[in-house]
Amino acid sequence: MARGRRGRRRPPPRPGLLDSILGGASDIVQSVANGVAPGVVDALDVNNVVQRVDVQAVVNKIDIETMVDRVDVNAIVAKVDIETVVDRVDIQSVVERVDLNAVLEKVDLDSLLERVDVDRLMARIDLDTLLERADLDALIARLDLDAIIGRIDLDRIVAKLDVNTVVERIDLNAILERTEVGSLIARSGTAVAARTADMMRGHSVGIDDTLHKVVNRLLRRGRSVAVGGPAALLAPQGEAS
Amino acid sequence: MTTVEAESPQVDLRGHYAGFVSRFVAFLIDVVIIAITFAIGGRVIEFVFSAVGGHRFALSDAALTSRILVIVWAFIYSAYSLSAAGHTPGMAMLGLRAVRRDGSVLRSGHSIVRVLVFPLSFLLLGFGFLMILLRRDRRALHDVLASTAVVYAWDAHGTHLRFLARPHPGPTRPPSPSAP
Repeated sequence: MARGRRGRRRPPPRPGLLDSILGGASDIVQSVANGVAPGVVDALDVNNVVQRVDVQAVVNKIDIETMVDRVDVNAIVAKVDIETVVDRVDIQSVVERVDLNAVLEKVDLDSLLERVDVDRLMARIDLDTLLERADLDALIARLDLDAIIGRIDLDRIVAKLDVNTVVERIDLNAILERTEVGSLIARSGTAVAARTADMMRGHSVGIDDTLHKVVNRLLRRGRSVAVGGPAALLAPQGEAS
Repeated sequence: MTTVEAESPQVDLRGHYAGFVSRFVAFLIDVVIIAITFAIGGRVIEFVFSAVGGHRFALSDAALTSRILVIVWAFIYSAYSLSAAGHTPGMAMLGLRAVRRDGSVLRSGHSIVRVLVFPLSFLLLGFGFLMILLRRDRRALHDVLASTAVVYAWDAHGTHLRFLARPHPGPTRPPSPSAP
């Protein structure tokens, strides 16, 4: 009889007393929580709780540098289509909103110019495209050029110029050939001589005329007696007039 | 409706007898040119004669020779320029031209005669030149003797000389602007 009991499979154990008690307690707690939680939440002042949190202490515990170091800025920038962004910018409206004079007053132009590698800067700028999009007339009209020029130290700029190098690059012979100095001098000399002769002749003729009037008056010929000439020389004039 | 400008006579003194002042200034210029060129030529002559003769030669030492040379040079200067161009360099600067009495071109013969009788105008305290002022045709004694005249060859059409214009006698005188 015992062997027979041993050979049969044991039936699953029946839940014990403790399990029954715990299971019942859980149900009770859950039902209590379900009943109490809404009331507790309603009674809780969240703003008061947030105000009691020391945000600054939390922020101080965050290592921003480490976080920033872990960000791959280049990868982000690579993903940005700058051309598209630039195309969407209304440069004209931006320019109109900028008080250029106020900006320029704050800029130390001299030190700025010294630090700028103009060649590299110019090489990177597509001037044609830029100029097509900008209303230069309006921009220049708003600039106080006198004030800008007044702030530039020309002496320092000139001091940086190597005049000898500049002069060496000038082809004086070509310039002289193009200006035709010889013909210029000849023409100006001829013009001066002609003007001098005209002036001398004019004065002489004027005095002749005055003298002619005086003599006519002395000889009682009448002032309006015209100066004649050989008929052969005056005839063409009479026909012409 | 006509305007004064439209009916004004042509302002041009070309072909009119030249006045005393213009001719005198031209004469002075010619004298200066003759003196300068003779001084230069004299130096050349002195150098040549000194080199050829082997001893120093100076025109200042031979006064009579110098005077003769000056007169000859002045005659050549005047006669040649008048024959070739109808004016001396001085006359050209003042815009003058010598012509025959009737206005025709001066020939070589008349040019030579005119230069030869020119000194006669200096006689009687320059009365020959004074004739330029007194005569209506402004001809000096040497002009009368050589049957020549001196006229303006320069176009005095400039506006600064417009006041010099005299309307030709007759109907060419412009009407008054206020006339109806």
